[in-house]
Amino acid sequence: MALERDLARWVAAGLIDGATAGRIRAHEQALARPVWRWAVAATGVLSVGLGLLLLVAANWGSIPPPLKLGGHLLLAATAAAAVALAGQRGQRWTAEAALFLFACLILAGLALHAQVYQLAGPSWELLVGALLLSGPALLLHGRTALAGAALALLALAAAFAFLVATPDPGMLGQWPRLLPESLALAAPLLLLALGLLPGGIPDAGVARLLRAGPLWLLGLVAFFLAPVGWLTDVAPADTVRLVPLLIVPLPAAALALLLNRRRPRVPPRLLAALVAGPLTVLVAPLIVAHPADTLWARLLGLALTLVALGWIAHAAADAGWRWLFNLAVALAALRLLAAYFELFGSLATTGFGMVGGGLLLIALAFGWRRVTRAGPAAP
Amino acid sequence: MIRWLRLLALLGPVVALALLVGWRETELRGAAEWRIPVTGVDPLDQLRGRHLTVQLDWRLEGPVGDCTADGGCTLCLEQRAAAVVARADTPGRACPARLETRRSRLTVWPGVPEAATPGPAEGGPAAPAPAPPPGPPRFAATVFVPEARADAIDAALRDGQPTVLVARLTRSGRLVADRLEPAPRG
Repeated sequence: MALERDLARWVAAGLIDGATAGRIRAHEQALARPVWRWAVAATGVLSVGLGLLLLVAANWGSIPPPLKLGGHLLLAATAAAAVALAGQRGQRWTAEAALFLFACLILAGLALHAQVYQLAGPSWELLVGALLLSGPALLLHGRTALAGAALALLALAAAFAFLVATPDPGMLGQWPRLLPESLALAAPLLLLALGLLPGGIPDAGVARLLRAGPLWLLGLVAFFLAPVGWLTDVAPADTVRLVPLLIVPLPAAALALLLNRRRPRVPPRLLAALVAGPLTVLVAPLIVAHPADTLWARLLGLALTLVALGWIAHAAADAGWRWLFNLAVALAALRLLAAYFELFGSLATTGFGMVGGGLLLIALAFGWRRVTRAGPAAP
Repeated sequence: MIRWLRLLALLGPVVALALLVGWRETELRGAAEWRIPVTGVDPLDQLRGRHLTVQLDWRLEGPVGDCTADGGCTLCLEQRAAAVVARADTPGRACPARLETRRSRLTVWPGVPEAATPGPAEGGPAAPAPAPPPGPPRFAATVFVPEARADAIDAALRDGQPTVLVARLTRSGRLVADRLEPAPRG
């Protein structure tokens, strides 16, 4: 129906003649897919799947642990076999869905293991375990954005969970946690370098998503880590103590720049923004001395995040990477929304925050529209 | 080469999970069962999802050291009548049931200082009272409870009904919680 309306409009505007409209209509009809019938069938499949899950969940306590563990291993082995078989037959999306399921099953398997054997512990241990076990499969078998997203999110969630599990901000950067903390801080930059490895990534889809890794972490940081970093008291003496935390992020950033210089895959200006943005947001609260929980520290954290996102958005628009531009702007908008809640405290500050943030959002929407209209096509 | 790596990336995690199960089962095979009395921790908010945090109600003996430090501490469990005693692991004294708090993932809270004794009521300004000595550290375990029994266990702990943690102590000193159940009468 929408096509008929469009065709009538285009004919009326003199853009196409009746014969062309007829050819377009015939072409589109030949390509038409029974979307609604598929939607009904998919809803049925989803309903059956959810029903089975609920049946298992309702009787979870009465299923003996060996059956749970054995059933899980069987499911994981089946998913692994499906990845291999679908990959051999060239069924890209089947292989990808099976791979995603495989990664989920590995994570669920570790959680099941913890449940059966009553293993209490911080969540980062589970996430790091899942990353180590399913990361290589996602990296070597991933063919689309789905695998790249799963890998990047798993890595960033593990890094984030580890960083927030630091018992006390005063303990940050102390041996023996220094190296793992530095590694966690470097997660977005390491993902970026991984995405730029020559021949390391078999498909552009995964590489593209890996390159977006820093943005996801920036989003996470913007919401959780950065405000926390600015809320803690960092004395001038602490800043010197915290500098060794850069032992991994700086070489990772240099590696990403070097790899891209040898074999350019990201425009240099965009890469500079992608490297410097997350680094600035993560590191600034550690090396800029500030008193705890002051408005100026919070605003500085917010401003730095917005500047980093703005820089990435600008560089992405210049390079014609529209998807990255859209992502950066969306994250900036979300960060501004979160700022409303940060400024809560009194009616006046809330009102000030909402008016200021709202005006910024409106300006952002206008700027977004301008760039989207004028910008070149995505690569 | 890359083909083998791709195969290993799929097979490795499944084999690793199977080996992990095998390792846990082997570890638990020779483990002795212990029934440790427990009490609730926070009467208002005990259940975290399906995990319950309970305080181990054992008797501490001897200088157990700083169990709140990163490395935790080592305790020797002894059954004395109905009570479980956790004593410091002292050199020269046998410790047939050794428990490593860190390996067991027990949460350790520093002891609450005992109430200071009041100073003299008369005769000029009272001298500042010396800081009260810290009480013994408290130990807590997190236990996964089945949904069907979670509310009953929660209510039992709230009402102060005697409850025990049934756990197994492996040779490596890891206390593996199994279940919570009412303490045997008498």
